[in-house]
Order: sequence, then C-alpha cells, then structure tokens
Amino acid sequence: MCKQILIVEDDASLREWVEYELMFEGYGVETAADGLSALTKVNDSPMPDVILLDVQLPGINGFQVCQSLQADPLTAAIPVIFLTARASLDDKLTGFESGGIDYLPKPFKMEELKARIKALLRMGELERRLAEAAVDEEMAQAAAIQNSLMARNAPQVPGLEISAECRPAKKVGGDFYDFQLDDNKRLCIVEADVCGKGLAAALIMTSTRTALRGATRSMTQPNRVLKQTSDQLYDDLTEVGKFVTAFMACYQPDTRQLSWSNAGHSLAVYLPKDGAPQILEADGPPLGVLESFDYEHQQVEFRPGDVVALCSDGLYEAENSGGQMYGIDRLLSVLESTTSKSAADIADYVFDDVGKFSINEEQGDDQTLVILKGIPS
Amino acid sequence: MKLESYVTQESQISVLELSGRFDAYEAPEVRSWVETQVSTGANRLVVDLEDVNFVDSTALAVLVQGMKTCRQKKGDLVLSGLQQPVRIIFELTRLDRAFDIFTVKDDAVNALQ
Repeated sequence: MCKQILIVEDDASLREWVEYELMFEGYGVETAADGLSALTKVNDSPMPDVILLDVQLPGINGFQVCQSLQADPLTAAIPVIFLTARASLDDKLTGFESGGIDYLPKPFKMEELKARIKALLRMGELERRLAEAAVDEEMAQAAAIQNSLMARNAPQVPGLEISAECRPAKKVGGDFYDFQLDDNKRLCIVEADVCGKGLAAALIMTSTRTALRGATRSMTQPNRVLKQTSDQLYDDLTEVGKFVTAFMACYQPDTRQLSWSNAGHSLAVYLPKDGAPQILEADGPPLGVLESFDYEHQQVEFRPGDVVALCSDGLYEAENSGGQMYGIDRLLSVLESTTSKSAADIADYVFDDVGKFSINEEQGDDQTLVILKGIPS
Repeated sequence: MKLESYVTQESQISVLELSGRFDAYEAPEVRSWVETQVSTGANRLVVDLEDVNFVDSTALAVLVQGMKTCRQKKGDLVLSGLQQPVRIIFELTRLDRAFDIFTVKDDAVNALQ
C-alpha cells in the first residue's frame, strides 16, 4: 500500500498545491483545514505515515494538535513536520517540544518538502525493521532452546541404529521426539505432534515432554505412560483447546523386544526384513481427548534388518505447487525401497523425496522423522 | 476451496453443515459457532461434514473442544457424513473412537433427540 500523508493547512491554495504535488509523487493524501478535523481524520483509517501540520489554524493551533497526538499511544509515533511562517527560534523550539520531528519555514521549496518526507519515511522503515529483528531474535532463542531439547544424540543401544530429525515449519513448532534410557538399559522413544504450530504449540510441547519423561521414569509399559500423561495434561489441554498425538516405543536390547503404544499418531510404520510393511495403527485417540482412556500395548521382536519409521503428518501432507499431497502411499514406497540402507540414509532419502515433491512451496507443517533400524548386537 | 456454513434449527438441535476444506483458516468461524450455541444453552450439536474434503489438526482440535464442552454440559457434539479422505484422518488419529459418528445428518439428529 502507498504511504499515507495528512496535510493540515487552512490556506486552501497552499493545501491544494501540496496535495497535488504529493499525489503526483504516488502518496495517498488526506487533507484537513483545521485542528479538530485533523484529529478526527487521523483516527480514520488508514492511519497517516506522516503529518504536515500548519501552526496557525482556526480553533486549536498546530502545537496543541501535536500534543494531543502525542498523548494518544495509537498516534504518538506518527512523525509530524511543522509547516509555518512562524520561524523564530522560540517557535521552532515550541514545535519540537510539542512533539514535532521536523520544522519547515514558509515559504519552502517543494523539492525540499519531498526530500524531508522521504527521509522521515526511511527512518520509520528502519525502526520497523529493527523492531522486527528484535522479535526474530527472541524467536530464534526460543527455537534454539526447543532444538536443544531434541538435538542431543540418541543414546547408543546395542542392536539398534537411530536417526531423528525435526524440521519445524516456523522457527518453533509443535512436533517433537525424545529418547530416554532407563536403569534397565531399556530405551524409550517418543514422537509426538501438538495440534497447531508456532509458539503456542511449542509451549504445549515442552510441558508434554516433561510429563512424558516423568511418567516414563515410574512406568514400564508405553501404554501406561501414555495414559498417565494424557490424564495429567487433560485439564490444561482442555483449557487451551489442544491435543497431542504421540507414539511411544520401548526397546529392550537383551531380548530385542520392541513394545509400543500409539495415541492417535500417524504415521508409524513397521518394515520387517522379511515380510510386508505394517502400519502401527493408533489404538486410542490423541492425548488429552478422552479422560482415563486405556491405551493398548503391542510388542514385536525387533530383528537385524527390521525398520520402524515414525513420520509426522507434516511429511505426508506436504503439498506441491498444484495443491496435491505427497501422500501416505508415496511415503510407504520410499520407505520400502530404502530399508536396506542405514537409519541416517533412510531419513535423508525420505526428506529429499518430500523436498523434491514440494519444491518452491512453503513448508506448511512441522516435519519430524524418527528411524529405528535393527542391527546385529 | 471456500468453506460455507449455515445453521438450521431442528427440534432444538443445532446443525452446522460445512463444505470444502476445513482447516486453520475456517476453524475460528466454527469455534465461534460452537461458542454461540453453548452460550445460548444449546449443547446438542451436529456438525455435518458431507461436503468436506479435508480437515487439518486445527480443525480437529476445534471439534474436540466443542465435543468436550458439550459433554461437560450433559450434551454432545456428534459428526455426520464423513467422506473417505476425512474418514481416513479420523481413523489415523483414532478420533473416530472419541466422537459419535453417523452416516447421515438425519441419523445424527435423531440420535440426539
């Protein structure tokens, strides 16, 4: 949108001349012939980016108009240039004291007025960018904290190769994964997705992670961990209108048993070395949807060559420029064709393929991928 | 695709028919519809998804929130007319076990009577 300028001047011929020149320059121009109507105009949208203000006006004078603008937080930041024949040092000082940014004595050259307007707008733009940079900096710090909650290397467990990566759509997001090694050398793996994205989802993510970690310390089975976490978060999640899908697996290295439970999370895929891939379907709704819900417990022997892939919905719902979705079928076929590779290579392959599909499209949702691969102990 | 919604009143049960894509952009409109119903004492709600071809997680969250609110008030929010792509999303998230879901809108209305 073009920059808006309000001209407050009671001399009609001067007002019209300035109006004409500035409109020709490409500005949006509003005018007022006295102080009170100037104050009314300011509050009408669009809010001016610069105000040119005469001092001697009928009714309240320009200095008073400027003071009123300064007193209102909504208008205090609009830069004011005084245009006036009153050019004594005292007048100028009064102008600056009342909140003016610049002072241009009449008569003035149009070229000088235009140059001063440009300079003021440039300054406003710089200030706006600095403020944005400050917000960006805070978001970057939040992202760094969130990343540090996830980026630690997966614990080394005999017989298991792990790759985990989360690519948030915004700087911070609601997807996460976590690893926890308990006293019996059992490794617990979680992938979860808080509905929605951005800062709100990230806040829920950190409290969910804490609740899951606490429950994992006192429970042995993934389904009980999910139930306790859901019940603990239920009231808070109800209050903020969110839920969390979560897949939890525990791997016991000495027996190679992989147990798991799934609270509404998709897509979890089990690709045994010999046999058809199997979707590890959720047996209950996401955390925080139903109170005291009992999740089921499942178990398989996780042999060398077997793969489990946990893919958040941001991967298979990635869209291309034609609005088509990447889809579960393509994800499954990519996984099937790469199971002989290492966990890290499988992950790279999936991210590459999703990236190629949605090239030039903004990433719409967080994308998280955890790959577990059985290797000889 | 644009989401169009309208409300009909049938035997004290509020029905919302949605069409098109139900995602984060349309979710606030549905949330405020639910809030309006509940604040005027209506807690038996049907959301018909017969003409909806996609729901995202924000939309699901709005439906879950509405369902919880209605059940708290001894009512319910039920769904009807789920088409294949939407049904798959409800199955993947197992939200089909959290909601009462009916094949057609009239069944949903009858069930709430």
